[in-house]
Amino acid sequence: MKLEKIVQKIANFMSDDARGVSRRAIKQVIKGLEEKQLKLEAHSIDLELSEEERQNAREKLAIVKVQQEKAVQLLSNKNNNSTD
Amino acid sequence: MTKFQRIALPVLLLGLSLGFWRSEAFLTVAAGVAVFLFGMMSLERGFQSLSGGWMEHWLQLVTNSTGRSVSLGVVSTTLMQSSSLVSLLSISFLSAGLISLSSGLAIIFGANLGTTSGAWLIAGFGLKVNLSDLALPMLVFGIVLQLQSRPSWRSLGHLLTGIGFLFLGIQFMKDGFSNLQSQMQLTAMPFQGFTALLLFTGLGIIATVVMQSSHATLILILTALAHQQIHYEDALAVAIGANIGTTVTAILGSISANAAGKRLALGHVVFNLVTGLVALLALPVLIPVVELLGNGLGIAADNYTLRLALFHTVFNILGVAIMLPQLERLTKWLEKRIPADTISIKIPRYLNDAALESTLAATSVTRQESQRLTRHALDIVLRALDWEPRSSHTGLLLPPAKEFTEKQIEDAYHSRIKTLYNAIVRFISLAHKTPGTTELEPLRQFRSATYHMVEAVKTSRLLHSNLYPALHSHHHALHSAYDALRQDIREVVTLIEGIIAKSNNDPIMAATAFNDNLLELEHQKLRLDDAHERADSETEHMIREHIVTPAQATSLMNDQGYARQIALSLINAGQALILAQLPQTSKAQTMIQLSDEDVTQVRQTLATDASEEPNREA
Repeated sequence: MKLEKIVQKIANFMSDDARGVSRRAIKQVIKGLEEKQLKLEAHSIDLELSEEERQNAREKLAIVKVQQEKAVQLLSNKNNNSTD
Repeated sequence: MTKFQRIALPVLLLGLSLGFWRSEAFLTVAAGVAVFLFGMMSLERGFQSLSGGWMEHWLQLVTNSTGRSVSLGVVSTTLMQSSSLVSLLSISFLSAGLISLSSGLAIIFGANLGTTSGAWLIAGFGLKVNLSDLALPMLVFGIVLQLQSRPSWRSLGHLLTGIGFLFLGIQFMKDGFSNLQSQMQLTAMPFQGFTALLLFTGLGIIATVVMQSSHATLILILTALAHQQIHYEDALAVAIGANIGTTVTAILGSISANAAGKRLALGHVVFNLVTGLVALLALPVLIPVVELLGNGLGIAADNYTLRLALFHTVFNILGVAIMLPQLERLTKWLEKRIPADTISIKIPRYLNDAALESTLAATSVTRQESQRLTRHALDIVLRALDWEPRSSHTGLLLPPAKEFTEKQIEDAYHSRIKTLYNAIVRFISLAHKTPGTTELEPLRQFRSATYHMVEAVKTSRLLHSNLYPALHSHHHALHSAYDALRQDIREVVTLIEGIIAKSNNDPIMAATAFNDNLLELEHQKLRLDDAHERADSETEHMIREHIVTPAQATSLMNDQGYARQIALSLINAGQALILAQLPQTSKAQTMIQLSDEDVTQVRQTLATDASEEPNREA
């Protein structure tokens, strides 16, 4: 491995350390969002719930999906940083 | 600096300088003490940052079991070799309300027993080997580790340099005393009997107060004893004095503590004074007992250093045996002697500088004080929105009997919010500077939460000036428009009240509920955007239909902006309050929070889905 790459790797490691967002934490958040997604998908079509409750579930589901995208992007940024 | 300190310091420095000039051996001993104390500081620093986890975890497990508390005191002091650090952490925990006074006292009793291990280590090992051979590599490894970026390596580095300096200090003392023999002999002092005992006890107290370490005094006296610089009986008196003198650290540490912390410090003084007094009075009995025990343990009759270590252990066990049955009585006496802190709305109830000694204690008091500020802030916001605080029976919000004026909101802000906010910000800043506090993310979140709460209160004053007249006017359309504004805020207030209630529940249960609350708060952002858009078009409609004058409409639009600001501040505060209690995922959760653009994106997605729905059904 070239010296430049090693230095970059160390710099990435140091910056990760400084930011303090660990992969484990992001993965934990993604897992939590997946669980929420499943629950909300079920609620959004549950005919035993009122239309208002189903609409609430749909809105929350849309939020969760955006958050999932952000979390996945965050994880991918971290992976790219450490493999560049 | 007090008058005494102004005189004592130059006298001490002058005395030391004179001693150094007269005797090189004295310089070596004094340098040994200085290096030893430096080692203690480094060791304590290393333990404070490294032990952040286990010591606090253990302290939490103690609950109210006396046996476990005593054991914790013994084990932690044996491991850290510093009863002062254990005392300070106990004061810190007690002042944060994490342990009870009787548990704290039991830990202190245990710490006194644990401190005897130091004398055994030095007498049995330190005086027999050349410690500088071990010290030098430790110092090198320690410094190398301290230069690392990882906090745990740095802490380990502090520990190694600490032990290295301790060893080096002891070696200096040994060398110094062996050279001092020809120049000075404490054994040649003209005092005898009880006068000599009192004198040497006083010497032990003074030495420990000056060095703020009973360990240093004990090491000094053990080394002196090993070189026949002091009579065995006099050395025992110094050990008793060191036990009494060590309470000074706890007294100093409790100055900034609340009543609970002060009670523990006084309890520490009482315990050590009683133990010391009993040991001094029972010395004629204790000496033969120690001799008998020493013979039983196979300690040679002329091995006075090990016998001193044994004596130190015996009289501390005696102290615990006397005081442990009196624990309840002592607790009651301390509670009576030092009354609880006066509770004022204007001063922090939970924050106290003693809690800065530990991350867990600092986080706990900040959480409690932030929640207190939040309750006050929500109360003011509700009143500013022309509601009485929630009825404890029905949970309903009712209109107040009379107006909460703008002046009252302003006064309430200054008396109930500003002072607490100032105190929280100051405390968190101090925590950032204290080496003992390592995990600072929760504190950062609490500061953010209180900041947003303060913003909400300040903005609610601006909203109040038009809201109150509108709610009490006969203009139906205006009344409805302003009522709708405050309803949006009320929903967020209800959510935050729920968050505070859950904060005091079981952490695992709370974590699940908190994750749901986070989504609920994000959902509120979305609803707020919808409500704002709806309110905008309704206002335009009212202007077009001449239901309101343009002046009333522009005021309403301004107030809609204020209402949105209040609700967003409350949402941000709620999120920060939750994230402060989810430290493991806090930063990641912060980074996935919805921005304004994200909210727009979600709304667009929902609008697209809604328009596609009828097509799909068709």
